[in-house]
Amino acid sequence: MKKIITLTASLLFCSSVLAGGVVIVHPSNNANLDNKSISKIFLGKSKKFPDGSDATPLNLDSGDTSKEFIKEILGKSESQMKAYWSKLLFTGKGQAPESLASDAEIIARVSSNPNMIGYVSDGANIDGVKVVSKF
Amino acid sequence: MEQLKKCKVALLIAGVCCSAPSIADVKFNGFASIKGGLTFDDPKDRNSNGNFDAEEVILDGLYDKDLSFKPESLFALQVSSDLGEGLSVTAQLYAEGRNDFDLEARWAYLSYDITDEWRVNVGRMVLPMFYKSESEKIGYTVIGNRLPRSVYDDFNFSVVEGVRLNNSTELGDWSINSSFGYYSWEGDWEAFDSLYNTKFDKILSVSTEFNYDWLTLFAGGFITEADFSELDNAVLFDGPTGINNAAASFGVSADETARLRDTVGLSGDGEYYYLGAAVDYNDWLFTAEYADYGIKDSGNSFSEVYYVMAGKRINEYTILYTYESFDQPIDYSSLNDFTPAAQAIGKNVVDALFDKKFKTQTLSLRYDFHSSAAFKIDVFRTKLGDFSDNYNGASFGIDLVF
Repeated sequence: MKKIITLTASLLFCSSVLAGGVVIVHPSNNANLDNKSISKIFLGKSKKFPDGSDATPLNLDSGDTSKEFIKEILGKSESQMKAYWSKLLFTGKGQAPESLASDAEIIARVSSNPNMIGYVSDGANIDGVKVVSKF
Repeated sequence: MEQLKKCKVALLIAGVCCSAPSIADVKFNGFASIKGGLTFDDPKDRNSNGNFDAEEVILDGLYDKDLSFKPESLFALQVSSDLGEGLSVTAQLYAEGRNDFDLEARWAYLSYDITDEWRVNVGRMVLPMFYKSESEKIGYTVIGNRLPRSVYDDFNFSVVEGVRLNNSTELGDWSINSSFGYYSWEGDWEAFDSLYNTKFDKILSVSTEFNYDWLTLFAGGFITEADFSELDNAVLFDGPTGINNAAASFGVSADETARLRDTVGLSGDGEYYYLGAAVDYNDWLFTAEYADYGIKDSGNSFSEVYYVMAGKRINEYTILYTYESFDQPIDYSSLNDFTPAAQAIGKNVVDALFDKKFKTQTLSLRYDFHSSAAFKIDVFRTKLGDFSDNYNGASFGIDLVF
């Protein structure tokens, strides 16, 4: 019994840690995207992909994948991001990327628009999009 | 006047909603702070000229030994609508306890994206007086419970009307955000327990911020024509203890009296500058800001203010230490060319106006207990002027955004 509890606890632990995901773009997007350029787009510092085409980022609603993306790619915590965007939003200098509720919605938008960039959780069906980074 | 302001706000909201293509395009966001504070010591009224109040300096006259939750609690609701093709309209309605929660529009502007890099805002905005002035009231974006009072002193001319160009540019790994504005302000200025109509015309403002990942360098300032003629005339010139009466009784000539009025009157060319740096590296935090401001050729001498803060973020907690200093030394140099009698009168005016000096140390703890809310507590110690007494106090609260 003790072993089962230990096993369950470790599975729970793993599932909360392994909430990684992938950053996706339209298959026709050939921009050379590293994590630094992805970060600039998601922080609103750059409105274009490195090849000069327009970039529109899409966020995934708050959750483990979103938290992991913010931590690993943007190097911040959820609270820091909230403060960052609040400062811009309430002083007329910008607003956070549009946020969608599910992996499927992100994939549908990215697969139909070459200017979109988003991120989805590891297990999502990523047919019709191209993976440019993992976290 | 207050009713008129409220009507304007209501019309503005109606305008935002009606001009939107559909209700779905109208966004609502907001922020709020519930804050309390108190002092542990009875501030004493004492100064070399008996003119400033310790309580006023330490907690901006907001708190005393009885715990109060009203002065710094506030609520703000922002309504914005994207009208398409780069045009948007935004209104931020704001109510603060210190003003009995009267609703006012802190921001109300039209915005147009000229290009990806240039945006123009027209309307009512907060003047970027210092680095954090525009976001001063958004408590959630402030690490501690309060910004250093030496710099962020809730200036009454902080909300202005005008036009602003915002620019955001990339330069290698640096991102550069700048704003260039032309504004004006008119309002009531409280002095000696009365209100006087005051104008800041031709406010020309520049602010810029260079950001490289963990490092931010910032600087800015503005110049303005400050018109305090109502206050000058009523108090400094024509009042019973004003310059005109004193000059007449001391036999100062009419010409010199006029020159003295120009020299010590509060009206003149205002100059406000700031610069500093901020670091956020591996959860270590550091910010330093220095500002120098005042009105040239006036009895109001320039103020030199600065703060240095250092802290560490540990998971949901942040601990921060702040040292700040405010110094507004008396400066008689503008009176050098006057006769001894006129000089004596001028010095009396300068002495009576300002001579403020304090240093405060603050220890802050922040706990991000929710992704949209933080609890904070500040304990502080202020040393006033050249006196040895310390004044201690605390403030705490919850800041949230929605």
